[in-house]
Amino acid sequence: VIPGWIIAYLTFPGIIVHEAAHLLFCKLCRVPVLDVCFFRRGNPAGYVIHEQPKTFLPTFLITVGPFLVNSLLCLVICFPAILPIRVFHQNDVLGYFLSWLGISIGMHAFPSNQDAKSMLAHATQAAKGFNLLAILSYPLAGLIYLANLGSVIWLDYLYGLALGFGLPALLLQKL
Amino acid sequence: LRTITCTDCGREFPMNGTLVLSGEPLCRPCLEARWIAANKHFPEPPLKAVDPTVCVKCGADHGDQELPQVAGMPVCDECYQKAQNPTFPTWVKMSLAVILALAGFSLAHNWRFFQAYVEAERGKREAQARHYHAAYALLASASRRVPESAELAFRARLIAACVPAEDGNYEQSSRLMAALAKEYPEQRFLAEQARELSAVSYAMQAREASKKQDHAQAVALMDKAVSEYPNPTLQLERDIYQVCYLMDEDRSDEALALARTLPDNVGDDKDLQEAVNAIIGSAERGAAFERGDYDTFLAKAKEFQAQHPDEPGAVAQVASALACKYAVTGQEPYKAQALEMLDKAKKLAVQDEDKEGFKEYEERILHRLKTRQVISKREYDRRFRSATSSAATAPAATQEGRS
Repeated sequence: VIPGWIIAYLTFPGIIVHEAAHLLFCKLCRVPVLDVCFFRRGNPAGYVIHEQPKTFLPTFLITVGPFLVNSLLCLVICFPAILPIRVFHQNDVLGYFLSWLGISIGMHAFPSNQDAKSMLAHATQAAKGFNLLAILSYPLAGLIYLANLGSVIWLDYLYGLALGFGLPALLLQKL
Repeated sequence: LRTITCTDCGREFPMNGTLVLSGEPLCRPCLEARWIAANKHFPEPPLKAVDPTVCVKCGADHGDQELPQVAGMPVCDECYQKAQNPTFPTWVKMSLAVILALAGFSLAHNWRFFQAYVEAERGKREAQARHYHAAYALLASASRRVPESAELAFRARLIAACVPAEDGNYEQSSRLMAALAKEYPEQRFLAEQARELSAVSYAMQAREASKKQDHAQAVALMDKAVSEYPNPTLQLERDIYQVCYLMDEDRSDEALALARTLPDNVGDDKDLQEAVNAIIGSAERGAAFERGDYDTFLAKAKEFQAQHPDEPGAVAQVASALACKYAVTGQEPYKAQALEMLDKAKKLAVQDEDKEGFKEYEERILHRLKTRQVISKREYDRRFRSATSSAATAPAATQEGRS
């Protein structure tokens, strides 16, 4: 088992993008932000401290923001590298760099347990008013916990690989 | 700035440096003393006391004025405004720009790989559809785009070897494939592919021979095909030609015995099952004719005609059987019916191939009606036609018309 901090160091671009995604959605939803740490040694390796939004939708978006942004960036960055490296077996240094970058970003797409906890805390209040999104966020939070549990068996890495290498290959085959 | 008094030591401290344990304010040294006294276990963790008059972001002291809060923390007006509109640090923006620029550059730099990949995939699909000309054009182009890919070069050459097959030149394909097999001995399927193409080439030649009624040659060619590439389908085709050959040789009993073993190898192919059933029927009629059992011959011919009412060969065969009956009984109604059926068959034979076959058959049936002699096609050919002309003028349609 590789210690978490080593993985965090090896894949630090993903953590930076993860926190930047939280910040982006805070900005988009006009939620005040007290403090941002993009990367540090420690647990958590990054954070965004923000005001709790008045409605549930911004909370939801801020929580799932990294999943959307990291996944999209993983795809965009890995895409140019996949064919020379994976299919044509070329020694393309830029390709290797982009692959590492893309997979690192994809690995940190899952919202953290703390993200899920914050979302659930707000969802509990919102669900009392029969907010459908809040009700749906319960199973989503379950999935987030499961996904983070799965990181013990490299689920986050496998997700990054599938997204960065698998999906582009699938898309290219359809052309 | 606000101060609080430590519950344990009674001294006064700035609020921001102290902690609160179970509602009691404590200075740090007193909290550590309690920690040791409690065997390093607190029922609930201590909380940092927060001075509502000091900004947590910039540390500015605002005296007695309580500050507005963001995320539960006091912040001054300036920091409050910054919190309302957070910005991305320049290094984050620059990094993202550089990364996207690199990705864009990489995409442009590697564009030929994408083009080659798409062409190779399309080529693969064309090859699967056996459109080898189109597949080769695509794969050759892909290989030119990425000349460093040995795999693409190999795939292009592999498809190039299949191109003549699309034009029906299996022999040429087989030769190219065999040459490729020598060059790439590790690709073991190539040698097998070359043998299969060679077998198909023999099979195609055998079909041509069969069309010319040269079943002996067809069998010989299929023997080569089967020895090159042992395969149940090729073996079945060989046996079908063998049945035809035996019938040519007036050995319909042997032909029938062999024909009856054919369905065991047909499988689920409906068209093939139909073809084999037709061969068995033909052999049965031929065997009945050869042993002089004209009632069975007539019954089988009528059965065949009922299944194929618009085939001139089937109608003419009923005429042939009726002519046999006339030859042995001398009863005029058989002759009249035979002529009627012959006329019907003549009207049905509109295509050139049918017309040619019918002409050959009509000649023999009319001879039978005129002389009341029943002789086989072989004997008729021997007596009245040269050997070469019979092979040339007797098309496949007369398979049922040799009796």
